[in-house]
Amino acid sequence: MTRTEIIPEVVKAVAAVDGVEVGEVPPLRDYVDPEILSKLTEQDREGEGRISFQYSDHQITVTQDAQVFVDGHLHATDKTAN
Amino acid sequence: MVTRLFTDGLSSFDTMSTTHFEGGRETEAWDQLYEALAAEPRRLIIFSLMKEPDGRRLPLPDAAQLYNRAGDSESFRIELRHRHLPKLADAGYVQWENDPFSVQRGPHFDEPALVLAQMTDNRIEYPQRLRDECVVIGEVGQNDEN
Repeated sequence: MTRTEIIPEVVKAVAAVDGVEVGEVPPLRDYVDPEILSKLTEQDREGEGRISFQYSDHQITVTQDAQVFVDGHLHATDKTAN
Repeated sequence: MVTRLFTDGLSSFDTMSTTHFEGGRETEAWDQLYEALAAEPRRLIIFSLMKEPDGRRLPLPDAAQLYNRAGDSESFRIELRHRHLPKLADAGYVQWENDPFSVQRGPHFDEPALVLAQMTDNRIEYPQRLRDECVVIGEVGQNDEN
């Protein structure tokens, strides 16, 4: 099973919450360096690191095991639980 | 003796400070370049543009992948739009458009192109650990080019 790509997950999560197409979500890099999110989730999944940032009108939290929270709510993804 | 050492250290620090400590600007262009090349899709984009005549636009995601990916191509497109393309464009290496989804050389394209050209020179014999991996696209079969 391929590793979840965190940046698409964040963009899709915001698109879902806003009820828009993914193409209408503003550029992530205007808010945070996307490389930081990739680096975090490339690490050991058992770690507890997380990064929170503003993205468009939302507060996003990304965890080391690639969970995405939008305004405090966990975004459901297709990836199977570890 | 301590005073003298301190003074000597300070004077050399003063000399260094004018050239090395202005916000790290001495290494900014190279750091930016190496960071841009630190992801396979970005290397592939530069490599694809190197092989095409000057100024020509290449379609995406084709220029960023070696073969058509099975599975989630929407995620790959999002990675390109939100991560890889902005990184290359902000440095001036490429220019890209959403519709049609395409990329072309930017004003500073020659910076990553020159480095990649040097690194993909066939005459270079890389150390063992690097030898089985292509500089651009990672692991390759024994008889592959690149």
